[in-house]
Amino acid sequence: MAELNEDVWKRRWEREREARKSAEAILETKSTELHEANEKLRRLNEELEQEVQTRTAALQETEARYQQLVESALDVLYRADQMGRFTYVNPIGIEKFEYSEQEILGMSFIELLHPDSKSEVLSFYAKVFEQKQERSYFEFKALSKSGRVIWIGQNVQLIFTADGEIAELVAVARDRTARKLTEEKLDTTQLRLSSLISNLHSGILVEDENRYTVLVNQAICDIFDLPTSPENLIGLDCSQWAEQSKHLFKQPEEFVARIDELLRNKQLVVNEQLEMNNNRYLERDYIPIFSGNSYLGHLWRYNDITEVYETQELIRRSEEKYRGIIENMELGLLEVDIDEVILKAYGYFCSMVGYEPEELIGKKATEILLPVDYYELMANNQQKRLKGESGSYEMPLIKKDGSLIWVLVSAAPVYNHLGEVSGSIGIHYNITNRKQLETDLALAKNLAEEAQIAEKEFLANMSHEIRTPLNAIIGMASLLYDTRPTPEQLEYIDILKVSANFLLSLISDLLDMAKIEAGRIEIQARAFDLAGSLRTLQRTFQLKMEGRPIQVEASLDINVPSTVVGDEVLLHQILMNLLGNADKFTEKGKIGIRVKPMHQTNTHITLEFQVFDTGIGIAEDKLDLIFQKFKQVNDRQRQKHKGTGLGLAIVKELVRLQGGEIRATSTPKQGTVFTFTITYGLTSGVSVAVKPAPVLGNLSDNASLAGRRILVVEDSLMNQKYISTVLNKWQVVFEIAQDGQEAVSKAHQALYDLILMDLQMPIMDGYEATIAIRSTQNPNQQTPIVALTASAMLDQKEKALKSGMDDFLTKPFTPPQLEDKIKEILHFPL
Amino acid sequence: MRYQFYENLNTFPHTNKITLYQKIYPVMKGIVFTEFLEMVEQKFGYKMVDDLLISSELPSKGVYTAVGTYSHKEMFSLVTQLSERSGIDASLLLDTFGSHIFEHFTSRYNHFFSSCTSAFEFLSSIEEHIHVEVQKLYPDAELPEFIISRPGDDVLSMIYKSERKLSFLALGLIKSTLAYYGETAEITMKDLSGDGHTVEFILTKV
Repeated sequence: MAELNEDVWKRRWEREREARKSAEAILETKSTELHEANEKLRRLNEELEQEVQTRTAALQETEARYQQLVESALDVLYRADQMGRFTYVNPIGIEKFEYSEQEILGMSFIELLHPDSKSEVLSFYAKVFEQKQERSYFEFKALSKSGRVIWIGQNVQLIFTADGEIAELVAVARDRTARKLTEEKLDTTQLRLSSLISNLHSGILVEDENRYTVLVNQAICDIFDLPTSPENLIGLDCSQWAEQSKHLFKQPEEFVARIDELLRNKQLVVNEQLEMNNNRYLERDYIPIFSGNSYLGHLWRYNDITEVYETQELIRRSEEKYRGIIENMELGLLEVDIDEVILKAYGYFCSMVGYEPEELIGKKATEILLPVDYYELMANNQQKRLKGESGSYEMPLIKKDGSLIWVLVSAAPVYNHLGEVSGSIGIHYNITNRKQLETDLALAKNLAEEAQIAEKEFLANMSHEIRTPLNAIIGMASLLYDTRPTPEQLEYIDILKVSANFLLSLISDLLDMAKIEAGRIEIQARAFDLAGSLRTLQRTFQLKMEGRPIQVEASLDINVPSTVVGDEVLLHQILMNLLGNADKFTEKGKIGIRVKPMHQTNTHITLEFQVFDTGIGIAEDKLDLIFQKFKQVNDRQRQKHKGTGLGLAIVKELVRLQGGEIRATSTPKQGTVFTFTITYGLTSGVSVAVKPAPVLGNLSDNASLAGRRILVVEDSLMNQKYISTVLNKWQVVFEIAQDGQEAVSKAHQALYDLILMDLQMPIMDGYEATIAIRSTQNPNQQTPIVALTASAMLDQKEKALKSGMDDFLTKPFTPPQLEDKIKEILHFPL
Repeated sequence: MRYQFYENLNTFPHTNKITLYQKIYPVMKGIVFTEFLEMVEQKFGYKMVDDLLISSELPSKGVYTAVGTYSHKEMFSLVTQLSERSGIDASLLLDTFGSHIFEHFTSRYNHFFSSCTSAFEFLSSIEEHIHVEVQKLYPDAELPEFIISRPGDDVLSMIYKSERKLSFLALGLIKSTLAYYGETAEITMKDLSGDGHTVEFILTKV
């Protein structure tokens, strides 16, 4: 090999260098490209992965959705191959047929067929396969694993291969069992109904809208005397039916006309009655048949009701008979239901209230006939009816013309066939006349009572009006004794006093009698000293008899207890009266009281009192008169003995009031004995503190009342003067109020020890003033108040105490009576 | 979906894209030039190489690198020059160059050869196997096309189609292949197009 010169080396080296650089540049570019390509590839890969993930997820979701749809379908969904073997069955299918998934896959659907359905199902699907019918529907019976019958209605779709062969089938099968059962039930029901109809006792004929027979039973043939069987009548034209059968009826033309009318109206009509020529009765219903608004025909029902009709007729006649009887008895009958709606109004009732029956029926009895005030009474009675109770009561009814009649109602519940109260029947008897009489009587009684009240008020007023001045007279007369009168004046004063006392006793008698008759005598049962009482009487009369040849005796049987429980005041009054009477008619000899026991128990003792005298006596035939009011035994000897004639009558009443009896025995010119009995209670050995009786005219030491403050409330100037004089004499500090109003105002200004309160005053009376003082804040709210009144009426006393007064002093009173009362109230030692 | 998939692929630079220049002026891989000059240097010495490069008026000025690409006209110029200067027929030069470059292929890409058990098997796999792999490696490489058929058990027909008319290079490679697998065969060349574009090689095992 030849040696290379320097130039060649240089060029070679140069070429090598250039080649290297060129290679480096190419490699650099390649490397960059490679890197970029790599990057792009990586990104593409990532994007692809992402894309793949997204698409996979979407695909899965879609698949899951379809899967869920199929799985949750209510119908059975399945796929089967061309041989009918299941390749897929959804869960509902598995559940319905009760096979497990493993069991059912691979099974042929033929295995699920019910033996009844097998041949028809096979021939149906053989045809479908043969004709390659893409879609088909068939219903058949299938069996579940446990042998349960399932009615299946299935849609089958055939799936073909590309070359048009059957690849598989997809089916949607619906469970039709429930519907099939319903259909079967309907068939059964229909069968039952038609057999029911043919066996009915009632004749049934159903026609269609063109009047052709649809249904008819044997009973129709019997009733209409048709010599054929019901089957032969089906499908026949009925338009001539009425015409052909009219001869059977009593009123043939009406029969035909009515049927035409019913057919025209097409309205339900039931229970029409028809009378037949053979004396039988039929009941007919016409029932049009509509489905929605379209008329489909109608049903006739004929029922032989001859027996029922005859029975009803019997009942109706019987009812008429009894109704006739009741109607003729002038009793108005009315039937209402439980809501008081009138069901039936009988003739007589209608004539009582003036309405026609039609005007009443259907109305509410209460609303049309009863005054509002009586609604409650009616409601109460209605409640009783509902409980099944009868009752009778009186009430007024409003007649049609607005006037009232009074009726006595006797009402009783009416029961329905279930035994429940369905209403009531009322029998009304007109008692308007009797009611009028009652009203008149009540009016008369009211008038009489009012008159009586007026009389009593008159008496009370009179007692006030008379006793007030009399009180002044007696009081003044007593005062006159203190004025050092001359003997002549003293005599006048005596006469004045005696006359005034006599007048007072007359008035007292009258008032006592009035009180007794008004039943206002109050019997106060208290323990009292009977012996002491008798002694006091004896002494009083002894004092009175001084200077006269008359002895006063009082004798008490040793067995009579000295203390008994009873009314001392009444006994005192009786004995005073009788002794006074004895005194009047006795010139000489003796008068007296004898007491002895008659009968005794552990708690009570009956005493016999005798008041005797040795006077002129009473003729036997006059003895009955003496206890009568205003009767006096008139003879010459008695003429000087004036009186009211009330004394013995009062005594008799007072004895009677205490449960006793009085009688008189007498021998003329020898004397009279009054005998009476009174039963007293026995004390349990405790003796009572006996209050000594005040002694007339014996004025006690007045100094003790000096300086006491008394408010006198009195409208009468005379009485003011009388009381002022007495109080001044006792050095009592007092003020006078003219009436109740002034009294209240004075009571507010100063404190008093006592208030003497007249009751009857102008402006404000004593009761009202007392109530005012007691119930308002004032110094005298607790101050004792003593009523002063001429009226001795018990109710006034009670009224006074109730109004807040502490005690009661009856006018007229003597100065000692006033003093005692004041001291008693102010708790002075007596 | 599949359509979109292709669309996406289209946005990616095509690895097999051929530049406009290459379309108009067919190119040749640099390895062919460097191996050729290597062979010239071995057979004739670098002086010959230098002469060829200077006298051939090459656009590349004779600076070749294995990783570059150059106009195949330069190869013709070089072969023509060498034939003139050495007095050796160009077809023989190419045949010899075929044997030379085969050496390079066997040492460099031995796995292609070891995966085949015979020369026919190997030759049959060139078009569908080796060229595919080469194209992946060198997207700008322009490869001849072979149509293979087996008229008989011992006969292989290879129709060579190439713009570059280097059928003798192919002949050298075929011979070397037979030698590599230790086989002998009778090779007949038929110029089907008359200008060397399409040449059929028929190998008949002896």
